[in-house]
Amino acid sequence: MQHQATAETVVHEKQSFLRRYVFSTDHKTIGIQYYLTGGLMGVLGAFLAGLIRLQLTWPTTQWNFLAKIFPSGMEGGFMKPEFYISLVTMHGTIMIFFFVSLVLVSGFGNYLIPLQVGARDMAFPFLNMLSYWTIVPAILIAAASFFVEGGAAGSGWTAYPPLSAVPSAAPGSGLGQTLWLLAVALFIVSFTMGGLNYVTTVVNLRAKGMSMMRMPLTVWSLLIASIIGLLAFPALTAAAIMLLFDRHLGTSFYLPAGLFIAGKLLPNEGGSPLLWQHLFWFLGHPEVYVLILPALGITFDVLVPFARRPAFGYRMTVYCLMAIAFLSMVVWGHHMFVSGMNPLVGEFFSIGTLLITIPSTIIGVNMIASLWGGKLRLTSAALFAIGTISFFGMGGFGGLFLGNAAADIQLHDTAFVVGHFHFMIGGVTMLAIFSGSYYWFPKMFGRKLSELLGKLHFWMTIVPFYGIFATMHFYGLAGAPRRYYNLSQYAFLEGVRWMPMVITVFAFTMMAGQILFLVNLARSLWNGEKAESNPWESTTLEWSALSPPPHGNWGEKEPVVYRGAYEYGNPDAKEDFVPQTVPT
Amino acid sequence: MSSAREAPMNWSGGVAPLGMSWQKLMMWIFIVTDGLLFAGFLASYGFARTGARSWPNQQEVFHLWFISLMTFVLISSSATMATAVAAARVADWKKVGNMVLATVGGGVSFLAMQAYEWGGLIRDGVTLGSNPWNVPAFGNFFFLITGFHGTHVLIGAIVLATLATRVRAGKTTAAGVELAGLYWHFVDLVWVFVFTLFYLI
Amino acid sequence: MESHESQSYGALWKIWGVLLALTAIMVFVDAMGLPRILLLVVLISAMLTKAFFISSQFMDLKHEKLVVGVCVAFSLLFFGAILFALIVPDGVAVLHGGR
Repeated sequence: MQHQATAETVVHEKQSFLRRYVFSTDHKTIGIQYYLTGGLMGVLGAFLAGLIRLQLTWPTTQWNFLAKIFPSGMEGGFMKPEFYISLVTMHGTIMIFFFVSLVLVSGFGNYLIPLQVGARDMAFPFLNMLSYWTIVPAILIAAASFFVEGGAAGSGWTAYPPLSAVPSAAPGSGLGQTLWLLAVALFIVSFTMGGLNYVTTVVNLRAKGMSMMRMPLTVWSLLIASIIGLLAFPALTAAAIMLLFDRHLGTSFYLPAGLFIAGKLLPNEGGSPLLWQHLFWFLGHPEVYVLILPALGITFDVLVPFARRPAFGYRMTVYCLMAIAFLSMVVWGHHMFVSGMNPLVGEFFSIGTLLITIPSTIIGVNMIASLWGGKLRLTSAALFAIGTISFFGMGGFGGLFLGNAAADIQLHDTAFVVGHFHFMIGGVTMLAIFSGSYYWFPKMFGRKLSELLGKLHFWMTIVPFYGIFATMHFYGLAGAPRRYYNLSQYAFLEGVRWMPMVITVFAFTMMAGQILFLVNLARSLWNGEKAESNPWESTTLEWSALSPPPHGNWGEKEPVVYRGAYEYGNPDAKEDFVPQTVPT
Repeated sequence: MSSAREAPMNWSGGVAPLGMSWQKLMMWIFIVTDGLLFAGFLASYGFARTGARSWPNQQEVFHLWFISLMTFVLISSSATMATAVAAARVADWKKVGNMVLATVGGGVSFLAMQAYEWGGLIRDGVTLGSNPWNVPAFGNFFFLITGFHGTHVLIGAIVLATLATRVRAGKTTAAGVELAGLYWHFVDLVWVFVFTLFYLI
Repeated sequence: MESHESQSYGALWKIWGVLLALTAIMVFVDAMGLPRILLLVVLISAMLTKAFFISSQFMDLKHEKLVVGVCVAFSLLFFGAILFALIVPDGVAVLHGGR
């Protein structure tokens, strides 16, 4: 450990291309690697979503060109049910672990934390590099799982046994499921390495004067998200190990007696699928907060400079983030209300879930109040950040119904749930990714993005998104179940037959809109207008570094911090903002 | 608006507010995550045990005097490790080297005894799939939990053996010895829980 | 790097003795055939006492800032306990209903 380049020693020797761009230990390079890798996986996840929409809208159409790409899954041009469920599984897995987590937590987190706390790099840069290079095999394994015998895993991203525990149960329960478990295990290792770095860097490596209550909310949210991730992931590790044992070593952790699968009575006895559900959701629920808390933090960091006034209720927001994080760790049972659990335990989970609404609402109100009376600059970044507030509120409404154990009995496993969580971990997080991208692109690459394309991108995202997922709430209220490959065969859905079509039209519109973002990125990276250090006139520390910052971030002298993160609209100030590095 | 109250000195950045280096902090956080992994296994074991119609009587299945001996060996290795850490702080490197080697010896002995115990049980018919008492969960959790603990002991022994050679070459610091010590004590700590919850209760 | 006064070797081996004594007591109590609840209370108390000695004396937590030990203990004990406590009702239900 003594010989590694740590945050205390800045390495200035000339490095080979491999060391500088591929196996870099610089947090900025690693952040960009994560961002681009995650972005690529987001495109793959969106492609899978497109396939899902095709099947749900036109289940009886023959798709000959798809049969060429997926000869076994789309044999004869018709989607097999097992292929559909593997699409649903991999869409969820890829989007949650390999898109949102990678871009938001690993990408922005790695890039921003050292810069925003005034450090030269993360506490343990070598470990940081390892964390990225652990994700790469995870992704390759997940992608490869599509092409093995039986296809990709087919038990949902939730991987419930017995379907996931018995390799002969279905095509997607074979090698594809094992590869899924390996990919997720590698993800957990990578996340843990990153989380260790984040927490130690924020606690130990802040610059002089950067007290905890002067940190930007992005850093607070990433710190808190890392902590709950570190505490919650081991349960899934334990669960996954036991699942691998059940699959390959003949144990019965999750398998009860009397299972008849593929015509054979299994010899297992003594296990229970409920154990997996508990362990999985013990991680699964905090996991979604690991995704959304950084989105909320980034939203504040973007809203405030474009409102030219201080964040409203900064301290309260910090406490609310902590409250949400703690509560999120004790409410996992709300995913299991229909499992036949003891009603008293169900009530405990229900009350806890509904309690989370309180700090969440406070945060939402603080966001709106942070705009109140401000001199709004409605740039693309600002528009996406305002959109985040809207999605957060809408998602929260659905959550109120689902958190109520009695109502959930009706709504569980319907499209209502799908609509709810897409608003949260698809909407809030995605908009935060975009607002963060438009905001920090000049810092990361030293160039500006086109505002016109950005605004078009915004409208082509937010309007269709509502069209897709608000409709889905009503589709679910009408009783449409999730994860079914062909809903056209049920008479009770006759009255809402038009909904999947509407959803699909909006979905393809939204996907087309994302091309604007990709074009914008490519054009600006190629020959975009150069950006100065602080194009948005922001106060936080990263804007006092060059665009992009050099290796070691700060040049000769590390920054000293004299004030809080959001001093905008200060009447005593020369300009309408005072950066954190300006002495009092 | 800057914070109305001045932040207390040790949280103002530029210092280690928790009073430890980032390396030690990172090791503690890692220990918590690894501990929660074992907590997951033990909670699952608790779930299976409360749901089991019957459970083999540990007094009859295990030679508890032998397991107690294993516990004695592991606790002693923890004491030698703590002595090594204390010796490193006063730069008594000869003592450090000897104590680390004694710890490795304790760890290896523990593993040998664990392997012997496994062998005995397997000969009695305990496998991952079945056992003479018809409670598959017993064998499942026994091999899983002691196996994972044993793997951690093995990794610790390898790390400590490497540390011993580096001590001999004069290439270690007191901080490095302390970090290795924290991991080893964690392994002992897990055994305290496993011994009580699986073998005694 | 932080500086701690070193534990004297004697103090460490005294703790070793205490841990061994506790272990011996636990094994004897286990063989005594006590009523279940009493057995659980005694064994778990002894287990937690051993854990406290190892973490505070061997792992030096008593010389670190209090908040570190509190966070470590809370994370492990609280979340371990709550995971156990909230899944046990389902375990018991399996026993009675055979799900």
